[in-house]
Amino acid sequence: MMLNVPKSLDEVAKALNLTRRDPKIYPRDYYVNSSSDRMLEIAAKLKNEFGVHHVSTVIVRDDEDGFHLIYPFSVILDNSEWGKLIVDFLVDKKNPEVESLTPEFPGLVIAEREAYDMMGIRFKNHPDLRRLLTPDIMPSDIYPLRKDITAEEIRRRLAEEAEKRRLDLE
Amino acid sequence: MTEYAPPIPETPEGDYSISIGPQHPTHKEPIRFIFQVKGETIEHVDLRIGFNHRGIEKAFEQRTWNQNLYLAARLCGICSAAHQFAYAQAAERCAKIYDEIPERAQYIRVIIQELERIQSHMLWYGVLAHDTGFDTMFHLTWRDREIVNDILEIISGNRVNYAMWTIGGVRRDISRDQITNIIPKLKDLRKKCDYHRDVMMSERSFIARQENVAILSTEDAKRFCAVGPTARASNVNCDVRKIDPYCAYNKIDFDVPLWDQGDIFGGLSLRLDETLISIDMAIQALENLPGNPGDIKIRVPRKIDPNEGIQRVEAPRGEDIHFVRSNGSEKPDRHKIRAPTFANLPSLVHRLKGCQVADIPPVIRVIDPCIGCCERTTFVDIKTGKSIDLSGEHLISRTNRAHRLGTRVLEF
Repeated sequence: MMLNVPKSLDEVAKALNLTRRDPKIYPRDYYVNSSSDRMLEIAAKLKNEFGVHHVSTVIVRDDEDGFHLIYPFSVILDNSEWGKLIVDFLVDKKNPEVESLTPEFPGLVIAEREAYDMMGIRFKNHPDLRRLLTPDIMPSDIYPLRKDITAEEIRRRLAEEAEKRRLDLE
Repeated sequence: MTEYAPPIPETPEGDYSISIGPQHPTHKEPIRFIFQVKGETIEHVDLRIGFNHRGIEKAFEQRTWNQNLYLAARLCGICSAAHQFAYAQAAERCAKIYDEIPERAQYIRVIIQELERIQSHMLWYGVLAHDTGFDTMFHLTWRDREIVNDILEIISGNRVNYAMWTIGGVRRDISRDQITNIIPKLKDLRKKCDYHRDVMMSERSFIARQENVAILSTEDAKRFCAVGPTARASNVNCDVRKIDPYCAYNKIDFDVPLWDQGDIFGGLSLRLDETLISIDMAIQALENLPGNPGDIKIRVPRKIDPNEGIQRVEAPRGEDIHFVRSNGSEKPDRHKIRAPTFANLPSLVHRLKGCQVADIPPVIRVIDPCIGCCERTTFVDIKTGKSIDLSGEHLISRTNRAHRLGTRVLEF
């Protein structure tokens, strides 16, 4: 299949039926909003039609209206520069469950694990969804980067858990 | 989707398991690999990171924009400038002042970035020589690396953690005297790096250890989103300085070397070439330093209106990306860091499969891992496949019991 080499990020956004939002002042940073049910469709289109192979990371932001899952897709433009199409997917706060993009982009495998570990986003169809960075004794209800928990609280819970395990062992 | 490592199986796939790390002489930093081996060939790899997880992203949310500059520099020792730089530029984009940075400051940013790349690459190929048993070269490269560390000390006052960036420019200027002092040193360094290249490219036993080992094909490098020299050694042109230019990189003339074998030797030759190119770039930027002395920064407000900023820079190890969001206060609302080593881990796990046990140290070395510090360990009982994780407290209590009871305590 012939790949489509876009002239600008506007062209890509138009093909995906997305509209640009603020901040707008830097031409290679193109922010768009979307919802979590369109994730698979957008990822597949970007990969198959525009030849996107590089997704830098998964950024999760905890806001009042829900979790924002931000994927910066690197789109190769016709002057061989890479523009960033930064897609912001809004995820429901009560049930943060979304489709995993790892089947499309295997390089995201640990980035999505990190998002699960830090913010508690559950990725469906992820091959290996385990915690990544936090200690093994981290209680399963704590997701440290969420806004509803403070650093002091995490420290206190971890110390409690360590003490409990030490007593169990002895 | 089974192409990435599934969780460690109950019964090992190979004959036996080897656990390397978190603390091991082949690693300079704590990361733990569990290799399942059949004969001498690696069948399966599992990896555990997080031993140096310090919760730095949470800490960013509790400090002001300016305090965070000094936290960003302490993410890493070798590429401290790259992280601080990415943070400063992301904050500038967030505050919408990115286009107003004085040209002189942008050139000074290029100079520091390239000097940092030189010292990081020299460190890397010295350690690779050490890992493949060529210790003479290790001592030679580290001796000559002192030159670039001295240059960084002349400019910034520090050999590591240069603390040169600030939001809105740079903190120190480079004077005419310093330039006349530095350029001959860089030319001297170039001769020495040329010599390193000649020696390393002609030592046959050294090359034989690396050729056709752990090949990463172009498709795999793209599929696993590899970055930096790791991807460029597999012929993926992903140099952020060219594909997404920032500060003064579009005003400086340079080439991006690419290599198509994708083996360890490719990574070595690529970094040897890049070191020479970086020296040329630093000389070019120093000779053409524009603007008036002292015109190196602009004033920035203490509070930044609600906005978002994202910036990637080419750190010595590859694409380093920072994202910040402001909420109108003095502190960022969210700050996300994706370090280059993190992006290279999936491809590392992939290319380790099928390697020989003796090749493990150079293969791990090829991505230039940069990780962090230890807090606990895991014991795997091979007979039952059962594993238990022990925290620092467990280890201390086990040590105390071992003192009383002898070594029987380590049996499960």
